[in-house]
Amino acid sequence: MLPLPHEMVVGGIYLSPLFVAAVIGVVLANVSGSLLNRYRLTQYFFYPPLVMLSMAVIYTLFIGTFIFGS
Amino acid sequence: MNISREVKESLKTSLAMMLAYAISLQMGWDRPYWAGFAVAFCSLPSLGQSLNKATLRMWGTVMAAVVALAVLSVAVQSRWLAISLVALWCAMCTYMMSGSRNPYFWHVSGFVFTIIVIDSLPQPDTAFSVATLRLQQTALGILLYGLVSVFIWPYSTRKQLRATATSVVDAQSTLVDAYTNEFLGDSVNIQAKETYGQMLTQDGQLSSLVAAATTDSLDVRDAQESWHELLKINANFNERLALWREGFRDLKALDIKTIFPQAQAFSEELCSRVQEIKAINGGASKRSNREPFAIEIDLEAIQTLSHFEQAAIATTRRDLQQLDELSLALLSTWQNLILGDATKRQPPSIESNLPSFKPLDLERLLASAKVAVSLLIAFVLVVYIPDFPGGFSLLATACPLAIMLFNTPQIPIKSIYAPTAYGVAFGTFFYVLVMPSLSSFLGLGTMIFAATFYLCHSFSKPEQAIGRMIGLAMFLSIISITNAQSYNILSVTTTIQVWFILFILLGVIAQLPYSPLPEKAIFRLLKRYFSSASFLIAQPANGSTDGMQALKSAYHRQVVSSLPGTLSAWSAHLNTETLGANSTQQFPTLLHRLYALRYRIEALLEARELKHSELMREYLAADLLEWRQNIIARLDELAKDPYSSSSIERSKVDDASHRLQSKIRSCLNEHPLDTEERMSFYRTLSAYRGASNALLDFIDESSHIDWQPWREERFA
Repeated sequence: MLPLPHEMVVGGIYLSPLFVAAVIGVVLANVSGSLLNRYRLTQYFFYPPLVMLSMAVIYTLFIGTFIFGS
Repeated sequence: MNISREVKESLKTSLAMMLAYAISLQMGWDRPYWAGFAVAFCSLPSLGQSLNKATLRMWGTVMAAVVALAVLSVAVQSRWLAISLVALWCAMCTYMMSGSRNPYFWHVSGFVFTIIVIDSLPQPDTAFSVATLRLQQTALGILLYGLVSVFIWPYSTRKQLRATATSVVDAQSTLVDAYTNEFLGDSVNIQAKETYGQMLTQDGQLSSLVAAATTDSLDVRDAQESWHELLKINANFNERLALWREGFRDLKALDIKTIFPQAQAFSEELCSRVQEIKAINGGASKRSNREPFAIEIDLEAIQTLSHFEQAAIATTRRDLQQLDELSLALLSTWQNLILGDATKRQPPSIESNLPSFKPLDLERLLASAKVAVSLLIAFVLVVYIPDFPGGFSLLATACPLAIMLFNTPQIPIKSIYAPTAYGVAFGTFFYVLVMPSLSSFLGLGTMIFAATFYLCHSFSKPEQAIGRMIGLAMFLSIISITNAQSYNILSVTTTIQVWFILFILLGVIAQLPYSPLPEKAIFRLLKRYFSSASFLIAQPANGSTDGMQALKSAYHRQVVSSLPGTLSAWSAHLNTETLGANSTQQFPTLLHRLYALRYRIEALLEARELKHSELMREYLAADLLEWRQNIIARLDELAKDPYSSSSIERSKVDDASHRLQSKIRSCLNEHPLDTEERMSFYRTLSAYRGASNALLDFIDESSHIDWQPWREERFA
């Protein structure tokens, strides 16, 4: 069963789950992009900017759905 | 006590900032941080630069307030209409910004307009008070910084202007020495190319320094017309110097001193004129009266030369005549500026291929579209996502940053992450730990002074200017000082969330529709450059009367003349690590070839519009067309793939030259031309050969670069 959506609490401040998921998603997409650049795997993509955007969306949805609940 | 310049400037900004808060709070005005922003953004190294920027900020705010009130009067009932007008106005300001002599005016007009409209939308009856508050706070900030700069350690721009002008003159002197030696066949100075590049950079700085110095130096203000004339003559002189140098290749095998009997005397005269300018700049007060130099050709000596060599000589003679007139005009303008009134010499009229009107610029349009899209997306997010962090403040925050970043796409967004984080952390420290314990303005003022001083001093290097401004702006936003001060950690976290969202939004839009990586941008721009060059050369001579065709022609001429400069700005941001040190070091030489090609294409277009002998035109039409088609074919290949490393076939150009020579000889034997027709014909011939050679030089240089890493796809 998927977890119920819930707000994140950081130091007593409630943050929107979508916001936290989006921030983590973008950070993870950038880390993945750097690794792909480092091992020269980016050359196999037709249009990297769109791949980066897609990775950010996928990570955000994944984290939002399976970690914080959507 | 010897206080460093950095400390002095930081102390001045800190004092102005503290006074701005003191007066604003004392007067009971809302949002004192607007006055603080004016101080932070107008604090520049010299008085003139600061006053110039402050004036532009003030006028930009006035313009924004007027337009915002006008827009609100028609769109206050419809949020969608209002945001569409905001996006449209900001897009227009972005477009105007990069083509204007006063870009900051347009920048301020754009974002202040957004702030006033967005602030007033929820309560339209406050629109006028928001606009006037913004005006008075901005006026207060710039007035205080202006007064502090004038009375405490004033640093006039005049010194900097004179120092930069002296560097330009020194570089001109070195170049004239080097080029005249090379022209006379004595020696080649391999450092000259580097000196020319440095001179162009300093020449570019002169224009903004003149604008700044007119605000803080009475003598520069009185002579501003002469300074502007000097800038124009200087640019023409430098360009003609480069064109002259480009023609040396065709003169290599010739005995210059025999063909131009006064070559030695002219070279000495040219050097002596530039030396005199240098001396005047160094403080000499002796004024000489020089006359134009007659540059004659020994007609007997050129009888035996080939037609291409005669064509090169005709072009060189024209370059020398132009240099003669320009150097005289330059000298008389300098004499006029420094030694007082002199008999002014009119600079020669240089034919320009550029159209009288400015055609649309695709790069600027792209930046405008990105700004409009950013604002519209931000609006949609705020409207459709309930309880969006910061609400409409996202738009007000996004606007100045979007206009700045998309107008200078070479600067990656990543470069402002650190100063923003620094400013937020710094502001949070004071907001959470220091401010709650303060009870009077004595403590608050000391805190503002100390924090501003620390930030200004930490980011005091010229290349850290953006970091300093963003750091100060973030600090002032976070501490959000008001008369009825309250503390809420949520305001800090909301600001942080807004900036996170903003970076994500702008980061995504910056990648669309093209990659922001320098090597990809250079690839795209080179394609456009060659495609435009091909279009121009394919055009029939003497232009077209068709309106659409004339517009297209104007656009392509603009591309060919402006893109080398844009490419130069991108090349400074190439990543040596991923592209290889060799290729990034070779790229400036390739860029130099591109500049040469630009001059040659412009010379060819100019020569094709000259009056030619009908007989000659008909006789050689087929051969010149074939030559032109060869150039176009090469340009089209490069337009498809500018990173190709194809081999060059100079022998083909030589063969075509020989074929053309024999045809010209037989034509001239049958139908001799008068002097004017002969000169026009030779100029055209020389222009064709020059364009071919410049193109082949570019291809040759390009073949030395390993383009493979440049082609490879990469995440930005």
